[in-house]
Amino acid sequence: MNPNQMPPERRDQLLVRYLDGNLSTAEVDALSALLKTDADARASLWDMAMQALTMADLAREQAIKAPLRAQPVRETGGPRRWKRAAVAVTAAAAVIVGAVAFWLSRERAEIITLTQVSGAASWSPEGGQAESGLKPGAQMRAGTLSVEGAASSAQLRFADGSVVTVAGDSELALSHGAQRQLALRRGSLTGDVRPQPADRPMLIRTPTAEVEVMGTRFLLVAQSGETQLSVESGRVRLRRLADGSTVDVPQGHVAVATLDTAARLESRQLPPAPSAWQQTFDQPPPATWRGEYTAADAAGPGRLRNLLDVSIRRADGTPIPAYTVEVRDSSGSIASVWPDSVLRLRWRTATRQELLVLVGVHHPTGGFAGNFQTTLKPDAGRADAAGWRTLDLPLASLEGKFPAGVRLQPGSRVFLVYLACYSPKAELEVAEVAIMPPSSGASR
Amino acid sequence: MLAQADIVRTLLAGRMRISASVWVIVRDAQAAEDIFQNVTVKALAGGGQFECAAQLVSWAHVTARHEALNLIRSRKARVLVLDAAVLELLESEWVREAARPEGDRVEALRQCLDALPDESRRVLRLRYFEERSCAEVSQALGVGLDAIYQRLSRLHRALAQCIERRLAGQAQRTSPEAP
Repeated sequence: MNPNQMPPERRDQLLVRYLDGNLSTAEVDALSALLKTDADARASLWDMAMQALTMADLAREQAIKAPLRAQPVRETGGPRRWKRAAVAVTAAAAVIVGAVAFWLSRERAEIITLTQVSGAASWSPEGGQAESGLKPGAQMRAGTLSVEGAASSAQLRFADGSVVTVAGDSELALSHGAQRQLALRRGSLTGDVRPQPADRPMLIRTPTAEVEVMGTRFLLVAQSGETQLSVESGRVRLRRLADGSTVDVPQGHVAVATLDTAARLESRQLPPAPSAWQQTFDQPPPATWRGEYTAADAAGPGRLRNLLDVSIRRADGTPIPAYTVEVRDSSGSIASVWPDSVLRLRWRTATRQELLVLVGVHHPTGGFAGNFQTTLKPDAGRADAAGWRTLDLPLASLEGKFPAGVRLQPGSRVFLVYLACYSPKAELEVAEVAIMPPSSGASR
Repeated sequence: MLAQADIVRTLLAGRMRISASVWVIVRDAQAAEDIFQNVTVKALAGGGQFECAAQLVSWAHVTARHEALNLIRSRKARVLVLDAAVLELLESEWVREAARPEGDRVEALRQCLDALPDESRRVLRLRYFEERSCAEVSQALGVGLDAIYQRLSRLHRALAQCIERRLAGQAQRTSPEAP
């Protein structure tokens, strides 16, 4: 048959088979010939593509709203007592099936696997003793996961393949039940959640908000008086606990719930991050940064001096301290970076010390993407007469540390620059942190 | 020149169309999304090169198509794709569609899906929500493969007609009254 004379129904089936990858070479050629001349065929293909992608989007957002209804029980002939018996058997079967389904769903909700861990993380099972020195593969049920220190992270996988990553100083409680319920008491959580049953979305509560997740990728950052939600794909509902108001946050948007009910709860587009950024501590830094601020004086320029932090915990729970300075912006708005972007550091230590440099990044559209780090030798960079060392460090030279082997994606957004020494004699001071775009010509 | 915020806004507004042109080649929603994100990153990296939204949209479609074809070529299994001239023709038509807002269409589809019978929703859920092949859908439902192709083609057509009806109804409701 001449393809140009193909009936619409057959033409549409050919398109569906093409989209299923089930056409021969000759059939693809015939379809190409048809599409070149038939505007209706092109319109059909357009409709199919748009519908398919919208449904793929909805799959992340939620399962089809109305669950499939059970088929109605068909009346059959025969004596009434048989009907009663059939009803009784059906009811008993329904109870058994329901009980098994509940038991199975309960089991699924309870088993969670620790897939990756870095730094100090501990697990306190419900009613049990806290365990430190966690190893990947550990199985968890209800309890609380604590991650200590800005450079620490842990990744959990649920039975349905949903993945939750907790990065930085955070505390996450996981509860029993058929419905996944988490409480992010503080810190940062990135979720890559598979579509959840329509009547049982994943719920995550923070001190100020609750989010309802049907299946999507998102980042949640919780502090005592504020919760920030940014959505990487799909849509997530955010409820402000203070007044119960809600907002649906779509892909690429961010919303903040606080205790302030006078402010309208709304979502806005995730603002772009600059490709160049510099901090020289001429002014006190934001409160969320970590370090003791000293204004410029005779001893040096404006600077941040290290504070004590937990870097790791041994299996017996003993902490190993680190002396750290942190620059952070939980929304990932410090800068957008590429592998050939450059991190400039200016620092000083009282004694010869190695310096751990860790950069935490989000995906270009939000969500934790990874931690990258390197250790600088005591004589790294150029030193001036006062002992201040300056170094331009290509980000490509940092190793993907968490998740293991992660690679820096173009356009990633920096949310953390973490500098640490491990000796009390270090007296680390930092006078400049800057990120320069690839074309800036920074010295390597 | 377009500012970064305008680039992001323009690309997000046309995301579905750009992804659709990719999906027709790769037939994988996740890969289409990944390519769209790569294109967005490239657009931002090339900051300042776009003088207007139309130029950006056109560039994004072409770049996305090249990325999609590269992805197909990098796969070990041989994948048959429509003729290059057809892809360009589709692209030129879909770029012209950029003036139509995507949001209304998405909302209309949402409502049309809700109105479908359970069995139809089940077919669509297996094929597009769970991204199973038609052979897998046929196996899951215990129905022949040809019957699945027939059902899907009819469902697509029914959804397209439903969407058009809803959009037309919307346009009537929002159009100013005649003097």
